[in-house]
Amino acid sequence: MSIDFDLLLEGVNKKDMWAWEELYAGYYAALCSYVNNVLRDRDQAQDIVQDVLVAVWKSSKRFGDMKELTSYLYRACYNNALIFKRNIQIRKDIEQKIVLETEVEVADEIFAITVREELLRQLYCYIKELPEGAREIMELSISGLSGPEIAEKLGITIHTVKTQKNRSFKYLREKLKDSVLLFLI
Amino acid sequence: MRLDLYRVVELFRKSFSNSLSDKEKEKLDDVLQNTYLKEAYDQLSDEAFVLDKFREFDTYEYREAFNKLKTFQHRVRIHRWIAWGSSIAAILIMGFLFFYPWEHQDNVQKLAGVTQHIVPPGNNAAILKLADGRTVEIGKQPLELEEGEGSIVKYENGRLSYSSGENRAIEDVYNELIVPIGAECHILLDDGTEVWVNAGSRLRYPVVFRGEQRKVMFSGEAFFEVKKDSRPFIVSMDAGDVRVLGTSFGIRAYPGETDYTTLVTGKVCFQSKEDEKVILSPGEQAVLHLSGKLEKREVDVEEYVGWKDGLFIFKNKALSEIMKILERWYGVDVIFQDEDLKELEYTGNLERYDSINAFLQLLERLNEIHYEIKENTIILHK
Repeated sequence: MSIDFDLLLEGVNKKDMWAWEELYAGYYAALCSYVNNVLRDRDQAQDIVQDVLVAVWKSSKRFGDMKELTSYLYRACYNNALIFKRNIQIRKDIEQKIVLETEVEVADEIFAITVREELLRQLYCYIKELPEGAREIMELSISGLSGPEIAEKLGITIHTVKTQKNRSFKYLREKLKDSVLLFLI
Repeated sequence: MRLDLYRVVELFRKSFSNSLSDKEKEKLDDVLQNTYLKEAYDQLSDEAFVLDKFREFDTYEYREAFNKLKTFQHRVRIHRWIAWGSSIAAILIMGFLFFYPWEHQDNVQKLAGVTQHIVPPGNNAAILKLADGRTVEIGKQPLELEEGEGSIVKYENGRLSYSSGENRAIEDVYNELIVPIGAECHILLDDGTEVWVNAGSRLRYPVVFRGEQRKVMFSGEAFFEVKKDSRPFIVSMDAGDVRVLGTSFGIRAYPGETDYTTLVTGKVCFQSKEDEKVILSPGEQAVLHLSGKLEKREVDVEEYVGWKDGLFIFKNKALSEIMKILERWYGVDVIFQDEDLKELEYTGNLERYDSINAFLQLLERLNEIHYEIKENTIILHK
């Protein structure tokens, strides 16, 4: 579902539940994977992402555009992941004061990871827009099925699976042509 | 090196979709001098890597986390409000139960199960009246049919939708959606406008919007998210019209009751049948009293449109008003044995998808009210 962009941002700023559900749908997985890069701990990554989202939800912070919101979420998640790493012993303190504002110098490495994860996030959102057949094949291969297994399951030739898969990737890349401002959530 | 995240993301996007200009190509080459960014770029070029990452994304389920956030929402609201009841204890219990209804539900239902039956919430159901007068029941099974030469009507995943192909019908073809008491329905009209129709409502609309304006006929309660379009969208009701371009707003216009039009975003104009007009900005509400008096006021919009997101939100609301709303949603009749109970006021949130018993138990806990359920009738007494 693509949504009016301003409406969504306004909804997020105003803490409308529908907008927050979209926000979760569009960012949660990517942010978890991002934090997991730093922590290598899936459960902790999910906790940190949730803490950050809840803290933003509770704060009166307003965002001027989606870029600002997106960068902010990555930064806040990263900062909190770092703090967590430093203070593994005192986890409780983190829950009590989530750090949103501290500017932590983003090193080259984490910057590259942020770029990478954000692009992956956008691509991931576009999967929903794939034509139905292509999407099914994409989803099956994400779920771990091999080419021959997919062919058997869907009753099509392995050749078709391959061409459809290639076409899907091409389609996803094609979508990247659209203005970055319109990226889906 | 200090680079802007979006500058780089955009360069990558353009590179992967082969739409870089020469200048941008140079810029990208520059950026890729950085070994980390080069590595990220190479990873993104590798389909197997991308698939692996998607696989990881798939393992993080956002719904559970989002549901947790929702519980915060309740908590914050309760803190923010000054609950109003007849005693401090009552307030505390009410706040507590309103925000932990799910934890108590097991208990409540066990208790209630012995003596009384549970009245479940409404569900997704409606009757669709087609142009030729046939009626179709929707809600249980997916549905797909053709209406008015080339328009496809579909019902799936709880939503009814219209889409017209190339063939635009020549004549106006109208359908009507009738949502009975104890039900709700979500509909996507042909122009992209979405409507959440609440219990006890009727919406009549053309299968395809033609001409210079988009007009629908409505009675009951609904939340409209009108797709922006050069043609105005008009909701025509018994008491007046709401005219908009692209916006979201709630309407409550049940026959014989005060009408409310509540604006969430954009701008709307409410015009009564007597040609009186008010223009609303977000957060404002037009109230048309039964006396015919038209009034504009500021409200907390959630109190009026929260039902769409699964919550009943009451602020200093008289019990008689609350029960009127619950009657429609749960499909019950409420009898007040003591008239003065009607005047009691309550503040709090109720989960729309809980059984009505959760709320009744709460009233009982306040030591003011007792209830009996006989089939679909609820009797309240002291």
